[in-house]
Amino acid sequence: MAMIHIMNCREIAVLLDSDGARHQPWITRVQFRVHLLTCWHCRLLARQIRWIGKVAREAMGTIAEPGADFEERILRHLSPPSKQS
Amino acid sequence: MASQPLSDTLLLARLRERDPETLADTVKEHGRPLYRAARGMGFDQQQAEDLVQDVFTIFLQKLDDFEGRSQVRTWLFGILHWKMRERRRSLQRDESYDAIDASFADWFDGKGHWVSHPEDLERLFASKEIGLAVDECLESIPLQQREVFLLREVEGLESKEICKNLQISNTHLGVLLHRARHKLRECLQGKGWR
Repeated sequence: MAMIHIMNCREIAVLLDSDGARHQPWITRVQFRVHLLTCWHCRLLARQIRWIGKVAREAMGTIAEPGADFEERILRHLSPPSKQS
Repeated sequence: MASQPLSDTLLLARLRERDPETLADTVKEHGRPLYRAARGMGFDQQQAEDLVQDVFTIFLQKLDDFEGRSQVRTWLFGILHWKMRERRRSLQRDESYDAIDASFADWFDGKGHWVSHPEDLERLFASKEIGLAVDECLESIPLQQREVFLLREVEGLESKEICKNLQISNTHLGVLLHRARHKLRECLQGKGWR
């Protein structure tokens, strides 16, 4: 019977940081979840990653919006000139 | 599951007919996210607006060639990516495949256990200055890492959509995401968020 590799915190942390868990075999995904349930340090890293994503979204939300007629200008640019008879 | 492709199929059919209402809806739905992504990559307001205009121009020009295998949104972000690369030669591919950032490795001992616990950055969330700090830290990240991070975390694109647009493997995407997140983490900690 094949031995199951038990992942350490470093391997779990890399999976967290790289969004890699979802692409792993089911046995690894189960181990990943169980590890997170039992390891406070790795759970803290997972929370930190979610927080960084959240503050990045908020920071990007404060970027100056384009002018109010932004969409209209694009549509004008895309519209073929009307044909003159 | 089946409704999304159908909806996109109908959308494409109407766009191919140059239905003005559908085109306006498409520009309204995707224009500002594309603009935000371009600004996030360091283009100024005018450049970002020009880029988005270019994206929609190419979108319409190539519409008849689009086979509908990806979502319209994915395709638009793909066009944006290549337009940004055209404009900025420094947006080179980050070919680094080292699985782990060197400074990240220092957080663990030889057995892969934490040397010290990760910082609880969230407790500083209420600070008004965090937005500015995040902006500055985002600017410090290499462009391809920044692009991957913004597409994933801010625009919410799926991994496979990002891989398709940037023409990178899933493994490479993971490395870029890890490096972006770790650089952000280090940068924020370096600014005193600890």
